[in-house]
Amino acid sequence: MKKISLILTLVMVSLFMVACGDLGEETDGNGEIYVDQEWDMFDEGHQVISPVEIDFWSANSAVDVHGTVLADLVSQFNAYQQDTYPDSPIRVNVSFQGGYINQNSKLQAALISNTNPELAMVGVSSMALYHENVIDQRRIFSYDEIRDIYEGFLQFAMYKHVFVGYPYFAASNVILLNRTLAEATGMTVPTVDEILADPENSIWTWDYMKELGSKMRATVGEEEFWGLAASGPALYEMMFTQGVNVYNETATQQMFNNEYGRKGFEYWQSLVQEDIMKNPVLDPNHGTRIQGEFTSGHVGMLFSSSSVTKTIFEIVNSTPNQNNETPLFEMDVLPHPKVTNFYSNQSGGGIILFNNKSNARTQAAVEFLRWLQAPEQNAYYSTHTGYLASTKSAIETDIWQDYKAINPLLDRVISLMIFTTPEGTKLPIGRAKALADDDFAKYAKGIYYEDAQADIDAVLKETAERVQYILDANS
Amino acid sequence: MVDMNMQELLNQSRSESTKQAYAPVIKELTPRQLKAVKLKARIKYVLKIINYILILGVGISFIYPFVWMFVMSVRSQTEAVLFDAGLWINEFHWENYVEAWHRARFSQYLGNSVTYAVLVLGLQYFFIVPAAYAFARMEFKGNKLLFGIKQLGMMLPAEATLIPVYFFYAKLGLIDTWTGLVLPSMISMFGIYMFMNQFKTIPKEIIESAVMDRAKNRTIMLRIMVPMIFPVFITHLLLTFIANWNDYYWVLVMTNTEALKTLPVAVRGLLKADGILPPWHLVMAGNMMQLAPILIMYILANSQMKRAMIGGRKIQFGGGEKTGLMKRMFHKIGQKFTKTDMKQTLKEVNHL
Repeated sequence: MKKISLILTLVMVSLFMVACGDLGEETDGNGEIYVDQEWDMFDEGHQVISPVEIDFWSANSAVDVHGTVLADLVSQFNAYQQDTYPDSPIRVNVSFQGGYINQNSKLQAALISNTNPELAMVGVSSMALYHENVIDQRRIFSYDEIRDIYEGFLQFAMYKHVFVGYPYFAASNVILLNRTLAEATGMTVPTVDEILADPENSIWTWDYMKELGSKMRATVGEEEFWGLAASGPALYEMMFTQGVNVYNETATQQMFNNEYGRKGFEYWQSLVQEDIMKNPVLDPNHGTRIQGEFTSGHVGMLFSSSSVTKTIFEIVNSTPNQNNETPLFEMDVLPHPKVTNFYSNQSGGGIILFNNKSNARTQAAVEFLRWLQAPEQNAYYSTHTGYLASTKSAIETDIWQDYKAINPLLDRVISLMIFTTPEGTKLPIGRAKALADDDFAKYAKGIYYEDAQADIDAVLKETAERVQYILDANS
Repeated sequence: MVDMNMQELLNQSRSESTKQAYAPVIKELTPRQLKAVKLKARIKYVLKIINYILILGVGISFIYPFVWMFVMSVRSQTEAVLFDAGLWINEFHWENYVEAWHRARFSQYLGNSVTYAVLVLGLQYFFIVPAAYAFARMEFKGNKLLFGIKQLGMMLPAEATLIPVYFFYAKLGLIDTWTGLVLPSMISMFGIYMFMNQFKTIPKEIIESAVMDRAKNRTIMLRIMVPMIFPVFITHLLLTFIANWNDYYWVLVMTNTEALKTLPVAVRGLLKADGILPPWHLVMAGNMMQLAPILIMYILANSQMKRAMIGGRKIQFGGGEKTGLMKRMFHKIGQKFTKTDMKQTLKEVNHL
């Protein structure tokens, strides 16, 4: 009995020591992408001398539009290789893993067993998981090619001085606007171009948006028209538009339990209190329902991911209005309004290239990745899926320009990606998004309980404690 | 003489008691008691109606999601995106089924789903029936330990064991193979547990007599025990089919190429068929098509399943043969028109 107690005590003590130990977390930040350094670049052109097969894991499904378009691009690449290099073609096998979470688990296991693919599509919040297993993208893309990427799409690409993933399956958070409804209020509603031309003096502020939402709120017979709809406070937009940090750079400390966080919560709660926004905690599937209500013209402004823009635009454009004319209404996009700064958050994913493969396979993967990010392919993927083209040269292509003539909204969203974090603030590592953002969203909804009369300080404190707990537990 | 008289008396008493025993007992009830009896019967009847309403309510709550799913599946995209909880259909869009079939590539994945389900159904009994028999009827070293380990495996969620299982399978080269896919079902703890419990209910005497006739374990298991638990066998077969037909996570994890992926994986992919905004009309049409074989199987074999679930007994709610609700209601209505007059009945009783 004594022996067992002693062993148990020893095990507990060693576990305690491991838990309290310093894991060697670097505290000097994540580094800058544009460092003055000569990179050991992979050679240009076709470098393989015999047929090579490589694997590419996509987090999408084979039957969804993202999967089918990606499979189409891969087929084009394989055909091009077969035609151009019949003696040493590269063949890419794309496989679909059905979701980021599932794919992350599989990748972790595959890395241990060395059965991982050469390339994988990874969510921006998971980039940090792979920083030790990937080839730095600066060895693949030149300085000019990296400069060609919109700044906003590189927000979560760096971790511990490694440029982990190339932004490809890119998205952002925007406000989808029913311009017909908005302009019927008689208020001036700015356009993206106007905001971009003079962001300093733009009228598009939190207070202005609230006023607009208030004027769009109406009840006509049995029909309800809401000023705006959202699933809850948007953390990054709420803080960065006030010019302050959300977390510290290494994501070990939350930084919203203060007057700025309080101000944000007050604003979001007042939207429901003043009957401008539908209370998001009152109905199940709120996120899906508000998308439907916006599409049918019953919501003036929808806080949403840009990835639904293409589909909603197509539905609205093909739906007739009361006069039996299409579109149902004029749809537009706007950035999240500012207090002191505009800010465009990054979501979606990127492509990582693993560093544990043979030279020939790595070289083949580099060639494929370079081909995939070329302007034509980048624009093709974006216009067919609704993901955002990530480079400036992609939106100069004919494919993009032709698409822009039909649907200008994606182009407007991309142009907003110049609004990155305000000066003096630091973006946390993407890991924070994966760890704590979900908990923030869940706990922040507390402001809408008790008919949106819940005590803001109590909700803010509870939310901050929960997020800090998650950060502490994972630091 | 005395004996004679005694005998007569005895016979007389017997015949009287027999008479009394078979004579109908007519209890004289006061009008108040009669009213109470009638009230009790009425309360019982009302309670029965409430009971049926409750059952109907529960039934509807189970059926409603399926009906709603069907309604969503025939709505247009513009209507479906509103996510209306009602069951009204403005216009039937049967073409959603055709589109869902093509988008989810049903013809490709359907074959894989059938192969997967049939392989599991065809092969698993070679392993789980002997294992269940051994755990139930044989004594060997480590019996409890083995069973405990197997039970522990059943308690762990698949997500928790994913990384080690994937690692192990990858090292064995079982990823993306039919062997890898069907292997865990071969030694399903659920099946072993189910059969083991049923084997344990078979009286020992039957097995002992078989042993006395020098029957081997194999004969006892296959010729005596398995036929005795046939309803459970059918139930397990159906449950396994449903589980494997709907299996999503395991297939998704253990396959990389599309060659082995099954319907649930494809149908879930429809959620993003048009981008991030789910085309609910197609998703629901896909779900309906995926569900169809299970619904058909359930309709054909539901009584068998229910019987097996309650241990092979015939289902009798409240005992004895019962007529249907509608029939009983009509009967009651009929009774209303032939209602006996209470005063007349009382007179008749008093006259008797």
